[in-house]
Amino acid sequence: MNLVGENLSYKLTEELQLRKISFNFEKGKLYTILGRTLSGKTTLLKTIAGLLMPDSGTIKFEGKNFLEIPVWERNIAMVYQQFINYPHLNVFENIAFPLKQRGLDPQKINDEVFNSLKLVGLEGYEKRKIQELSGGQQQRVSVARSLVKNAKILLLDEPLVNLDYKLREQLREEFKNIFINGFACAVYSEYDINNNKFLGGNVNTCGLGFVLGADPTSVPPVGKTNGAQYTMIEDYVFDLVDKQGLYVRTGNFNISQNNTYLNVGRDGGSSVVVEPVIEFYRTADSNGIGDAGHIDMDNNKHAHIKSM
Amino acid sequence: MGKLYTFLKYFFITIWTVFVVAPFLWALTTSFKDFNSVNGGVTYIPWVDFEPNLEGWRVLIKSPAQGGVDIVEPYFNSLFVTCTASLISIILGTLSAYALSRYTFKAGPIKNNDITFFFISQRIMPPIVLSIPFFLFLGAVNLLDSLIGLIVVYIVLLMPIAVWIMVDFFNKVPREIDETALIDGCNPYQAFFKVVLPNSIPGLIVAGMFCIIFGWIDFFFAFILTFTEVQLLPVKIVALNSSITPWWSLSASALVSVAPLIVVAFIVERYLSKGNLSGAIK
Repeated sequence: MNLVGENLSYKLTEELQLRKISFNFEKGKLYTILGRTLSGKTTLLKTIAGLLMPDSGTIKFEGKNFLEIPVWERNIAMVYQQFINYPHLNVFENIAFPLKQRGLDPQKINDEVFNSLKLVGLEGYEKRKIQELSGGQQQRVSVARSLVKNAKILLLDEPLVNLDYKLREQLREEFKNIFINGFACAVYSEYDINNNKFLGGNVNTCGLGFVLGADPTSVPPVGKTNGAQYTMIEDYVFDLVDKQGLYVRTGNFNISQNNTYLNVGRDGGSSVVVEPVIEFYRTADSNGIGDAGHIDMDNNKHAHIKSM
Repeated sequence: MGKLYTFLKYFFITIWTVFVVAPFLWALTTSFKDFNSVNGGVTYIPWVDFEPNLEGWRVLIKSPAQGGVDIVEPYFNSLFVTCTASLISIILGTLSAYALSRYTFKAGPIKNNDITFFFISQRIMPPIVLSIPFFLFLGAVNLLDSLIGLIVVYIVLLMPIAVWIMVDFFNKVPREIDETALIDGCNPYQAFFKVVLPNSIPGLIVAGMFCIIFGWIDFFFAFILTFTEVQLLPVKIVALNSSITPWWSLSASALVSVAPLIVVAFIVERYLSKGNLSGAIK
């Protein structure tokens, strides 16, 4: 079932707010939210998780009104940027915590925990204290704790940003396997486009989306979603046309209008574009300079590059 | 430079230590003396300067009828009042501190920080200002000169300390831990008791110890709000001071009354510098 949000608004401060965000996340796909600082990425994740109550709008999941379900009954997994673990528990207890909370029997908890330890490559560490682990290992514990829950919605808030390059590559591989095997609906928010390469390029089911920051002059680069390639194009500026579509304010861009759900604010507010299959490509400008060559629209009104 | 610094450092530390320890040493030696040793000039070293005996300590537990001063009952009164009031203050103070740290309260211009300050402001006023309302209040509810009445007053005095310490402590516990607990299936109460509280034990211990210290050493309210039925230790010792009690038993009673605080000081010292949250957030 889909996770559908409609006209979500939430005002945290003057700078940081969600303005009428709508989305439709399908099961089994991976959605990416990109944006700069203060563009509301984490706010959107917390709203989905239920940690923040939107001022207006609705979220529906499996046909139920999600806003009426308290956080602790939503069956959500979330990985924070700051790798939150429970410092008073050891690795095993940390990962077992959500399962114990559900009241599963100890044998099952044991099996599940060891499975997920294996998945993140932390076998043999179950007796360690959290403080004795390195940063990357701590992050893996928090990832394992999220995975062991078998949650229907997996929210990742820049889970790789604190890690060094090598570990990031390693974890990225693990994430990829997890997403392919799992049926989680994941929101991954990270500004660093390189971290999202695999999401855009290598995972077939993934989609792409955007959060435009308070300053709309810097929109994250855009890529292709259904092939092995990922094209990075910089310096995009989008502007709001109407609720249905976007047009490009500077440069020459085409996007498929039918697939945008979204509002993109230009008045300094944070806005979100989240769309599983939409592709943005820059066409040649008046000087003939362009990254993407021709743009064609297919039957589903998706724009595709004919030649690179 | 380095040597001079080291020298000065140890020089001043030594002077300070002597300054702090000397009265205790004086009381300790005096408590083992008898009439002749006390009045026969300044003496320090037992068995060399004077012949130690336990008379001063024996007097403490004897009843007045036997020529003693009977410090036992005030001692247990003090223990009971201090511990009960501290425990209740810690429980109430921790809960309020958590609420003040995590939730937003607003009543017109009054916000969380103002509420926290309101708690602390109880300690800013001179005790004499509070004594009259307390006296009238306890009189009205018929709790003057009773242990319960003292406990009630001490809770009012000690809870601000607990709130103050615990608000600061909870503010340092990352909010994301609570949120993670919620996401992992805890309701807000479980998140507090299963996750936040176990990580706040150092704070609880420090707050508890401060409550015990301030409760134990309070003389003013114990003096004003009790008459004959109930007597707390500080009042008892001051009463001894103004009576014909000999120096040696006075010294012994002073040492006995300080003993719990020395134990508390060692525990506080161990936990004051200990952070237990390093693994929560990197």
